[in-house]
Amino acid sequence: MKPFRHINVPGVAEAVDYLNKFPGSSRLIAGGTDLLGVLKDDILPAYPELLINIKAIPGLDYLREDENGLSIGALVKLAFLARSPLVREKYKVLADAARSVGTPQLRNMATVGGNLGQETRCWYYRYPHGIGGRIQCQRKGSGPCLAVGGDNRYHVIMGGKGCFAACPSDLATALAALEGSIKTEGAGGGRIISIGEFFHPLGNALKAGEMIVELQVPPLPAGSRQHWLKYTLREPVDFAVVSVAVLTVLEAGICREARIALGAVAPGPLRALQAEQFLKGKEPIPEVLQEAAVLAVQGAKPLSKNGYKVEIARVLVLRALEASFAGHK
Amino acid sequence: MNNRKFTQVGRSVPRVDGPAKVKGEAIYTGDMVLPGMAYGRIKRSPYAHALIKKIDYSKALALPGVLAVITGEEAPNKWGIVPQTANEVALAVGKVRFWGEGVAAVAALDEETAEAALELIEVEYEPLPVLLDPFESMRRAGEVRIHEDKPDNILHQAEQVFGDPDKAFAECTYVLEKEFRTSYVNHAFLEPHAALASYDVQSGKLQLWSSTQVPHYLHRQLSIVLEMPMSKIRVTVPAVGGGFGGKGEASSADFCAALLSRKIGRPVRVTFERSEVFATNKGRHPCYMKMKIGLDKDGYIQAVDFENTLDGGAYAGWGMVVMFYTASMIHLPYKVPNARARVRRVFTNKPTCGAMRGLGGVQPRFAMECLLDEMAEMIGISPYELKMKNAIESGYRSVSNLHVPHAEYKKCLQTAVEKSGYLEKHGKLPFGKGIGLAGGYYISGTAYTLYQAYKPHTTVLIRVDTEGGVTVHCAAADIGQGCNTVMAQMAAEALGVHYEDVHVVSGDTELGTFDLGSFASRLTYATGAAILEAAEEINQKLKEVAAGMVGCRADQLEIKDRRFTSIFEPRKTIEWEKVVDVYTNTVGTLTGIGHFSPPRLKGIDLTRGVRVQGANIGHSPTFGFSCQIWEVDVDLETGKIRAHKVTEAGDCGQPVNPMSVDGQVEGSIMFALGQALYEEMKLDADGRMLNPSLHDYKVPTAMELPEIDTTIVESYDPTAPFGVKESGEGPVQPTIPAIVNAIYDAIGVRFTELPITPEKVLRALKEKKEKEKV
Repeated sequence: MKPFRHINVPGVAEAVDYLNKFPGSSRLIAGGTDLLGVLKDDILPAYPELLINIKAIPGLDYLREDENGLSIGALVKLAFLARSPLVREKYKVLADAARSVGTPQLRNMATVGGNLGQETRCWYYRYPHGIGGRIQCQRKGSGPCLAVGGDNRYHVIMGGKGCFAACPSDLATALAALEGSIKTEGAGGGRIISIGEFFHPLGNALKAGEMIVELQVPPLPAGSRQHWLKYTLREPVDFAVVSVAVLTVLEAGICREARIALGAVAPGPLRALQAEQFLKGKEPIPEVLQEAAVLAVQGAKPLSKNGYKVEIARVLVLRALEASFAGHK
Repeated sequence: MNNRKFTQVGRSVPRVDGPAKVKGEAIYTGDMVLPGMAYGRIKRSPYAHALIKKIDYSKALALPGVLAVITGEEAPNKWGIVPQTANEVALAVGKVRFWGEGVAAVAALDEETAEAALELIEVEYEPLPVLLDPFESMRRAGEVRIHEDKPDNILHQAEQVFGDPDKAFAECTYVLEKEFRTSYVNHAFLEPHAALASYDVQSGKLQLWSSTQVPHYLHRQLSIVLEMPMSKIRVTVPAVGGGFGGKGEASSADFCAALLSRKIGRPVRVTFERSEVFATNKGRHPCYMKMKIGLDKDGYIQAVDFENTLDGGAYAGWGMVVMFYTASMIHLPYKVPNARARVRRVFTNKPTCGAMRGLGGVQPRFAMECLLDEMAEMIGISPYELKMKNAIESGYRSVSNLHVPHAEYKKCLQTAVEKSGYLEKHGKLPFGKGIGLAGGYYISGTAYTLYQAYKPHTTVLIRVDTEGGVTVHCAAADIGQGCNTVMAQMAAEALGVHYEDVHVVSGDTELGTFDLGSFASRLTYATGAAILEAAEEINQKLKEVAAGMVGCRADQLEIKDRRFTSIFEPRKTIEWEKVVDVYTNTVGTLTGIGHFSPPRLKGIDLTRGVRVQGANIGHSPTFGFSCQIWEVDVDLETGKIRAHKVTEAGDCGQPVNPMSVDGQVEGSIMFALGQALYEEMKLDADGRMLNPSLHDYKVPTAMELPEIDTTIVESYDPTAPFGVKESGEGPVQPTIPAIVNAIYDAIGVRFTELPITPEKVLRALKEKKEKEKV
C-alpha cells in the first residue's frame, strides 16, 4: 500500500469540508472493508493522499422509526442492522440483505453507507496493479469496457452503457423494494436521492465533496409482506449473482401491491415495473406468479457469457413472490 | 511388529504445532524481521509473451531508500525441480513467457519505497503472439516458439504400451471411449510464498528462511542459481501455512531475496501478495484426456487406452513427472492386463502448472471412475459390483510392474457402500437428488530422487541424553501436514518412551539430517523406516547397560512405557531414564542413525519383458486406497449443486495419529470439492488472469462443508514401518468422480468438464429437455 494521510473528523461538516478541500485526492473511510482492498490492489489511477476517518463521528449510527418511516445513520454496521429486532420484524428484506453480506467479520466492520458507496466488483476494474498494471476502462475515465468482449459471466444483463459492471450493494436491492432513499450532505447543503436514482452505469450520483449520511425508508404499506433472496456461487462471502427483494400486499386474496427489485443484474437495483403492474389486482395463483417472473426479466440483454443470469433471476423472482405471498396467510 | 502392541503409534495426540497456530503465535517467514532488513518487491510483466528489449532502472535506483535493483541477466542460470528439463530463471532473461513473470526486483528500506521504485523501472517489450491453448500452441509452433530448444512447444511426450491393447479391445464385449477435461486450479494455501535471505559478507554464507515444502531441493536450486556451494547455504523452514505442492519447488521469492541480500549485504525479505501467488501459480495441470476402457462379457477390464494432453503453462516445473504420473495412474486400483498411454505436456503462455496434492492422479481418476460408472450401467450392474470385481488385492503386480504389497481397497469400497446405504439409494432417489461412488489410490513416496543419485531419501538421527531426553533430527519439512508430530510418535514407539518425551528438530538443512522434502506422501513411510533403524541402534546400546543393571541378558529385555523389563522375569525392571543416566555418565551422549532408501523397480511391460520409458515413475514402496460416496442435491431451476454428504472409507495402513488422518481426509475432501464445483483460474485473451484473488477465485468455505463420515479401515502393511501408508493425497482422488457420478444419478447428465457450475448445469438440463422432446 502507498502512504497516505489519515485524519479523524469530529462531524459531518468537517468531513465534507475536507472532501472539498482535497477534491479527487481524498476518500472517506469508515469500516474500510471495501476501501482497503481498493488501495492494496492499487486499482485506481489516482491514489488518495488523504483518508478522512468518519467512523468516530458521534451519533451517526442511529436507527430511528417515526411517522415518516425508518432512518438509518450511515455509520450503522451491517451486523447491527441484521440483528436489530425492529428491522428484522418490519423491514425484513433490509435485515436479510444485511445478513447476506460477506462474513461476520466483514459485517462487524462494514457500514450501511459504505455498502451503498462501495466500488464495483467487476474483475477488470478490480485487476491489481502489481501484476502487469491496472486496467483502464470507461468507469475509470478512459478506455473501453473489456467485459463486453471478454469474460462477463457476472456482469449486467440489463441497463449497461459504457460500463457493464453489476451493482454490488445488497442493501440497494432491499431499499429499492422499500422505495427508500439516500440522504447526503455536501458543500452546497444536503439532498435526498431516491435509491432508483442513486446508481448509474459509470458510478453513482454523489457529487465531488458529497457524502452519504442517512438511509431513509418511508412507512410501509399496511399489511405488506417482504422476502429477500440472494443467489451466490458459494453460500456466504460472495457478492450476488442475482438478488431479489419483493414486497407484497394482499387483500382478500387479491394482490393490491407488488414491488420487485432485482439486484446484481443492472448498474443499480432494478424495479420490475411491468411485472409489478401485471400482478396488481390479480389473485397470486401459480400461473400468475410465473407470468410475473417472466415479465420481470423481459427485455434482458445478456452479454456473451451471462445468459444464465436471466434464468436465475426469473426463478428467484418467482420464488421470492411465492414466499412473500405465502407470508400473508 | 504387531499393531495391537502399539502404544504411541495409533494415539490421537494433538499436533505439536497446533496451539501456536490456533493462537496466532506461530512465526511464519512473513512475520520475521531481522536487524537492518530490507524489503524486496518484484516488477511483473504486462505481456504474456514478449521479448525484453531494454530494462532501464536508473530512476528506480536513484529513488531515496532504494538499495538495489536486479534483473534476470545477473543470475541467468536455469533451474528446475526436474534437472533434465530445467528451464526457469530467477527473473526473466530476454523474454517473458507469461503475464506477471518477474522482470526485475528491488530492495528498499521499506515496502512502500520498493513498490514506488517498481513504477520507475522502464521496460521495453516487443510483444509476441500469445498461445493460451495447448492445441493451438502445438499447431502454431512453427511460427511461435515459447522455448528455443523446444521446436514443437512440447516439453515431452511419450507412448507407453503394455500387453496388446488393440487385440484386447477387439475381443471386448463392452467398450466405451470418452473425452474429459479438467480445469486450471491453484492450491490456494493460506500463507503466500515468503523468503527471508541473510547473506553474511564476511563468511560468504547465506541463510534463507523460506515457506517451502522442499528445503533440500530449494537448497540445490539456490546453489545453481547463486553459483555458491551448498555447504555455504543454509535453508530453514519456519511455520508454513500450507503448501499442497505449490511450495514443492523454489519460487522467485527465494531467488530474489537471496540475490538482493547478497548484493547489498543485509537481510532482504520478499513476501508475495495473493495476486502474485496466482500469477506464478504452479497449480494443477488442465488435462485434455481421452480414455477408452474395454470389458469382457463378465465385466472384467481387459484394456485401457489413455490419451492425455497436459497444458503446462510457460515453464517445465514438475511437468514431466506429472505427465508420467497421469500415465501410471491407469494401472491401479483395478486389474488392467493391457494398457496404452499417450501423453504429452505442452507449453503455453500461462503461469506454469506444477505439483498439486495428488498430482497426476486426480485427472485420470476423474476419467476412469466416471467411465466405469457409465459402463456399469451399460452392463446393467451396480458400479459397486463392477469396481469390486476389478479391484486389486494385496500382492498385486500391474502389467507395468507396479507392485502393491498390501491393499484393502475392497474393504474401503464395502465399508463406504454399507455405511452410506449406496445400494439402496443409487438409481432410486427422486429427480434432482443423487448418490455417486468412486474409488482411488495414491503412492506413499516415490522410488527415485529427481536428480540422478543413489543416496538414501531420508536420514534420521536420534540423540538421547540426560538433558534433552530424546531428540529426533531430520530435515523434513512440517508444512502443516503434521510430520513433526508423527515422527515424534513413531520415535517414541520405537524407543519405548512416550510421545511427550520426544523433541523433533526438522526443517533445517544444517540442523537436520538429509531429507528430500514433503511431497508424494512420502514422509510417514520414509521417516518411519529411518526412525526404526536409528532407534534399533540406541535400544541395543541401552539394553546392554540395562542388562547389567537388572541382571539379565540384553536380548531378554523389552522397552515399553519408559521401562526396560525382562520378558522372562518381569520383576527385573528399571526405568528408562535411569539407564540413560548411567549410559551418559559412562559413555556420553547416545546417538543412532537410520536411513531409508525406497525399493527400486524397473518400469517394464511384464508381458514382453521390455523397458518402457517413464514407467518407473509411479512406483512406490506402498499405496493408500480409499472410496468416497457423495450425495448431492441439484436445484433444477437455478442449477445450483449442493454436495451435502460424503461417506469415506480409507486404507492408510496403520494410522499413526488417527485424528490427523481424519484431518487429512476432511481437508482433502474440501480441497477436491473446490475443483469439482467452484474453482477455476480465468485468463483473458491476452493471458491476464482475471481472478487472482480469494474473492474471485472461489474456494469453498465452511458453509459448503458437507457432512463427512470417515472410516479408517482396519489395515496394516506388514512390509511398511509400523504398517503405515499415506493419507494426505489419496483422499483427494475419488472426490471429483464421486460428485460427478452423483450428479448423473441426480439429473441424468454425465459431465466431463470441470468445474460443474450452475451455468453448465442449466445448459445441460435445457439440452437434455430438448433432446427428450425429439
